[in-house]
Amino acid sequence: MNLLNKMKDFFQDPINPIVLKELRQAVRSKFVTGALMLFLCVLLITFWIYLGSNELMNIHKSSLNMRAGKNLFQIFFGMLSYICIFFIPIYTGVRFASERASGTKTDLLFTTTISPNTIIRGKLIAGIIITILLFSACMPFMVFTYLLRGIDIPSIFITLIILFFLVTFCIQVALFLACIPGSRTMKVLIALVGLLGCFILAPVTLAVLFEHTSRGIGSKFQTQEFWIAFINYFLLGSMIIYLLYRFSIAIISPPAANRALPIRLSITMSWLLTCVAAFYWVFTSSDQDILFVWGFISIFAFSFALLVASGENDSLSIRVLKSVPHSFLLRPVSFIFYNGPAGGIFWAVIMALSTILITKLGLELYGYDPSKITESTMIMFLFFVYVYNYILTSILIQRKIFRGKISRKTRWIIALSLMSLGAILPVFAAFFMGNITRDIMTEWQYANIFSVFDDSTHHKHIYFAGLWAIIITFFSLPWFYCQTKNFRPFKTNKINEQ
Amino acid sequence: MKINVLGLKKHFKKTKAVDGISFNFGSGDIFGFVGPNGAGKTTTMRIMATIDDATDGDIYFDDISAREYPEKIRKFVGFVPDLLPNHNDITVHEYLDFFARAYGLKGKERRSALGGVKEFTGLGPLQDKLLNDLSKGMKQRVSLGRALIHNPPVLVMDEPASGLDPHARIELRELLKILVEQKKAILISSHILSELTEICNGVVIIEKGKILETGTIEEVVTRGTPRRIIFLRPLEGLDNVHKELLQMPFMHSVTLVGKELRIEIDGTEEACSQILTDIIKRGYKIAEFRHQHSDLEDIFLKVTKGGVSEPS
Repeated sequence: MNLLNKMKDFFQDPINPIVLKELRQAVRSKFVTGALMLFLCVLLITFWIYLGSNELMNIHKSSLNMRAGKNLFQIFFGMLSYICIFFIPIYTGVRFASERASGTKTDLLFTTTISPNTIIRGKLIAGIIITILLFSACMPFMVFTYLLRGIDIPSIFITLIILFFLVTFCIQVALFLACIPGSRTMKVLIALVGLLGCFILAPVTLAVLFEHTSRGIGSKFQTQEFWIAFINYFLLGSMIIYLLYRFSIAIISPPAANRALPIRLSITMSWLLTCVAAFYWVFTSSDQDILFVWGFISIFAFSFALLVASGENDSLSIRVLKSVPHSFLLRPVSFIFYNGPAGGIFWAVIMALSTILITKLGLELYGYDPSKITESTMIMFLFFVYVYNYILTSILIQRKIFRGKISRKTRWIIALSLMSLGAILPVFAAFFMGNITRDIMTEWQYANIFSVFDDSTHHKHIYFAGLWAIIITFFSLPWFYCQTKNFRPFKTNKINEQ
Repeated sequence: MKINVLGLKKHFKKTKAVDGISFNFGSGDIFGFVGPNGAGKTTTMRIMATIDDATDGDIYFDDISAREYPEKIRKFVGFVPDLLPNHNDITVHEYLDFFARAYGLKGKERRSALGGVKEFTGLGPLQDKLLNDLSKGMKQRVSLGRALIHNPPVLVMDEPASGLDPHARIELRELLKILVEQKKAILISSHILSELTEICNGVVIIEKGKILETGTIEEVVTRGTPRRIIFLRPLEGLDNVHKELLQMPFMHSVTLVGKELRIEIDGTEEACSQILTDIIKRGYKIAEFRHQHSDLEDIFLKVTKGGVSEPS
């Protein structure tokens, strides 16, 4: 008995408790076992109907239909895709959201010493194992289609691997959405957004994979393009899954924790990796456009980071202050990576400027058209400066006008509202003045962030946005100074003073 | 362990659910947390269990802040919520085993903790039953077992007796007495005040997010009823006794209630004894002389108005 217990402990102790519990519940769940049995029955019935029909023979019924295997595989694959893309993420996401919902029956997970990291990882792994269960149920039927001709074994396995990865991505997205705090209405809206994503993703996935299976994936194994696309799909997907995983952990971490640090570090690492990948791509394929894509995506990401950083707490928790390094060299680095809106804004500005510089230098290195380089990097620069201006303005408005009336967490809403006003007001003004002409519409768009994409007005935008940036930075200097000044290691005797 | 609640606030938009409350209790104490519905009891307990974060103030477990280090605090606190465990497709053993693992217990230590909790709560024979098939009383035992699985020094219980039959309540009370003997610090909210008086040595009375009374039961009762009330029934000469009493020292009021006299005095037990001695010395025969003890229920009704936290 002792030996048995020791063996059980040896195998079970390292397992994430969430995985163990989720799987124990799933195995006992009538819903999950019922769904699995139903799925198997549907597969079996489809299989028998297909075999019993004339689909196995060609139209003249003189020989075997050489596409029968492919057709049957596509039917099975369609079923599996829809079930996995809809059922598993919804099952995982809804369960987790209801557990997190305050005041309802909760698993009391958040009263235990289990870490947020373990919770998210456990939920993700449990979802993946249920996916494997469904794949295992479907796999024998799919492999059998090979015998009916029209499809090769590599096509079967590669499409299944791609689908499996996509479902993993969907589960992580569902977990991320389930983590987002909000009211019941907000949660329903988030769930609808997730559902809409599934509705878009499922047919697109099917269309792309059907296209590839029709041509046969095995024949592409020898080509470099296939492997580049395949590896890129996995690397990019893994990076997004990892980032969402980190974001989810940060959301469910205690408010006093240094939630920004792992997020900013992982984004910086991802930014570096994608930069290296983009340069490698340009080097191997001589296609410089990927650098533009990388640059624009990075600028949009850091603009979004500005929005998120603006809502952070101006004063840091004791717990974060205790981890501030004493070294004067390390402190500025930790300032931009730790919690705090000022640090977050510094970090986003440094990253955005580095992106623009790297894009410009990279394109010049590979001999790209200089006029196009200037035009594109100017769009990136102006777009980011506008977001920066709007964010700092919204912070200033919230601090000076609405302090104590509205939460700092709404700064991003103020910024987006100002952006909308900047874009819409000139149009309304011109309309009511009965003076809508193309010239006026162009002239009056100084505050419209989207007009930076019109390269003919860049020189005017530079002056306007530049002047705005100088003024708003000047007015925000006391706020920046206060936060940098307060970013000092915490002294223990302060606890007693409290 | 000393638990210090300091200026705790929790605001939900404009509603001040908890409005700057402070109290403390420690190992071996069992404190009743009393207040009308919506007074802020559950909110305070959820903050103590680190489920919710406070708007301001803090709770210190010895010197460790619950707001700064909720992960550390979770080792110290066992939380029994007002809702019973209601999980599908999981047995009692699996449920407790999951929480033991979630608290980081491994191998022999986990098996020992599970065995101990099952023995303490009497859940051993039910360990293979599905959680949803259990009665309310049994579910409450599971909830208590879950909260005790990591042997925490502090137990926070939100309405643990609600919905339980009298038998289950007595069983729960006995279990709590054992836990206090084990030097656990217990904070328990309940509407059944008579039960709290029996098992608690301290009380916190809260209304509209503010503390109205706190301290040991004796302190609170003494503060709540500064005058002593005595009922006296002479065998004969009721009117004469009435008149005699009015002339005695410490006397605040004497009223006739049926065949008894209700005496309110501004004095100690010594004064009560003196009154009885004097009356007997004056030749009156006394059939009954009793002290009316105020209980928590009286104090609660006296200090609270039954209001809930309102938007400010």
